[in-house]
Amino acid sequence: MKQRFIIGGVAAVFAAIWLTSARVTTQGAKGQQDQGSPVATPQRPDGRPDFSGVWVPTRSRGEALPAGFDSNTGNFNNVLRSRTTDPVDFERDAGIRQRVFPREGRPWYKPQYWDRVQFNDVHGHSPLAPDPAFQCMPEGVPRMGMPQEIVHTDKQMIFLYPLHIRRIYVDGRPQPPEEQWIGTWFGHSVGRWEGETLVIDTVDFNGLEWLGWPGWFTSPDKRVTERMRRNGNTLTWQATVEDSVLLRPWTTATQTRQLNTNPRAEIEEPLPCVEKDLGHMVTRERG
Amino acid sequence: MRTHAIAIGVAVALAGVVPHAQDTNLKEVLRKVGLGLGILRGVQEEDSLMTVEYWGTGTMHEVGPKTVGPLVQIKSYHAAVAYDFPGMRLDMTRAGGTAPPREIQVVSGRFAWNEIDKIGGGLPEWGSAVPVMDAVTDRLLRLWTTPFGAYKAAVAAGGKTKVTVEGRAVVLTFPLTNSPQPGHTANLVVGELNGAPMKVTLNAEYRPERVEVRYRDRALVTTYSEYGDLNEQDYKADVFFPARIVQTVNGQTVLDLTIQKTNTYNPYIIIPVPESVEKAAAR
Repeated sequence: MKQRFIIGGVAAVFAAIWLTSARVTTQGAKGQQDQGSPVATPQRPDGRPDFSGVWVPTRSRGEALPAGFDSNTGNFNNVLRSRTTDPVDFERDAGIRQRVFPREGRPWYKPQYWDRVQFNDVHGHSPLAPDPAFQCMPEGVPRMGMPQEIVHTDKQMIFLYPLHIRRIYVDGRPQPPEEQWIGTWFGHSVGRWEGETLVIDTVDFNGLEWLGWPGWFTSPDKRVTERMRRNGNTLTWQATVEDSVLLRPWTTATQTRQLNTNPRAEIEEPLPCVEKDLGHMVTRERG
Repeated sequence: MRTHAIAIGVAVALAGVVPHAQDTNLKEVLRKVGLGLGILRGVQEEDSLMTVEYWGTGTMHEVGPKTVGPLVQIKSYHAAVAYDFPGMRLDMTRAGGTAPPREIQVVSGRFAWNEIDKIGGGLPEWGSAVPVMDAVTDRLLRLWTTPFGAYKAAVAAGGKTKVTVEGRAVVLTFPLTNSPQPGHTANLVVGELNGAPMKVTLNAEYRPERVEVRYRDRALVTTYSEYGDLNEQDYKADVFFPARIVQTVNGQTVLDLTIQKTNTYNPYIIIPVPESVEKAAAR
């Protein structure tokens, strides 16, 4: 149920942003025109791309308009994704459709963990194998995806999410030695530049966070490499996960966000996540 | 008056069992099959079933190239099916017969092997696997003749699929067709079966009740009955699977299964091909 409103809300924001994205303008006077981008990528004094700004979800080039968007009227109808709008159908349809991942899109766990993934998936709503995100715990990296806002300084980049903050140190410091790891939801992140691409290396996780909805657990030795690139007013992100529980590294789908070019853009305080569903769930159907 | 009443009664009775004229409309029949099985989901009614698991017990005969062996009890039968690569793992424990009590038969794309002793055998530092490349065709056939597989194969055959009415039943006939769509819910990889004729007879709820395939010198017929949502009581999905499966080869029953349980919520199934199997196949 909680997921339902989150999805609906994201879809509504998604549509609203798309409507305003056509009026994107250049940010900053100094910039470099990227091929294929209608606007220049602003640069910092050291010549690196400036990632500062409020970044909002958007559709990728070539992606279809959101379902329910009427291009004639501009209206957006948030359609419940079920066959009959019966609440039971909604839960079951969503439960099935949210697990449609082709094999190449799934993390490849070692065979000794296949049963655990399955158990997590079936019991993700319960104390037996709780999905942390379902219980208002942080989603962790990389499940939390792209930040809502970035504050870019010479020494660190601050990633702001609706309820969380990450710090990416870009001052050249190394990762702490393993004996100093303390185990956290977001890990310890250091960034470096490969040309115009910011490469973020993150270690020191607590192993409680999942990679995704269908029981994709992790271990404390997870290592995440994120790659972010700004092209004009578009920010692109993708992450690769290495973990001793996996047969091979797993790479997320690419995400993009668009700069909010309103110089007075503000972000409203998000509502706190308060778990209200678990006590009312009487089946394992989780959609 | 009484004559009219009888006529109306007969008409009403027939209406319930005789297919309507629109039942020969391919698109509409396929939609009814997908909805009847419960795999067209969401407002767009998209095929949303990529993987499925089912568990059962029953009896079987071991089928050789030319022979059919003695009756064997199946103490446990666990099938994990993925239609996206495609692949299937069948983990059986049997009593009697000449085959080992437990056998884990696997197919993944164009590779087939048996996992020894444990699931995932043959993957790095995890048991062993024995290539069985000459079983690829039979195992792919097992996958595409499941009710969901037959539906997906009929859709993939496109305009080659014909709808007819035989007696009281709607029938789909089409050639199994290699039409790979990697990563989709119906990635039709059928190998040597390409072109083999498949005939699917539907029941009154438009669910496959008889699937017949002719290949080489065999007629493989699988009958499905007692459909229901066989997921556990607190994990229902409105996806329907037969509780009874009977298979014959050239008229002789070789498999008789009672299915106790399914998981139709697209369970986690990946079936990577062990390196040793790939190398053996390359030789």
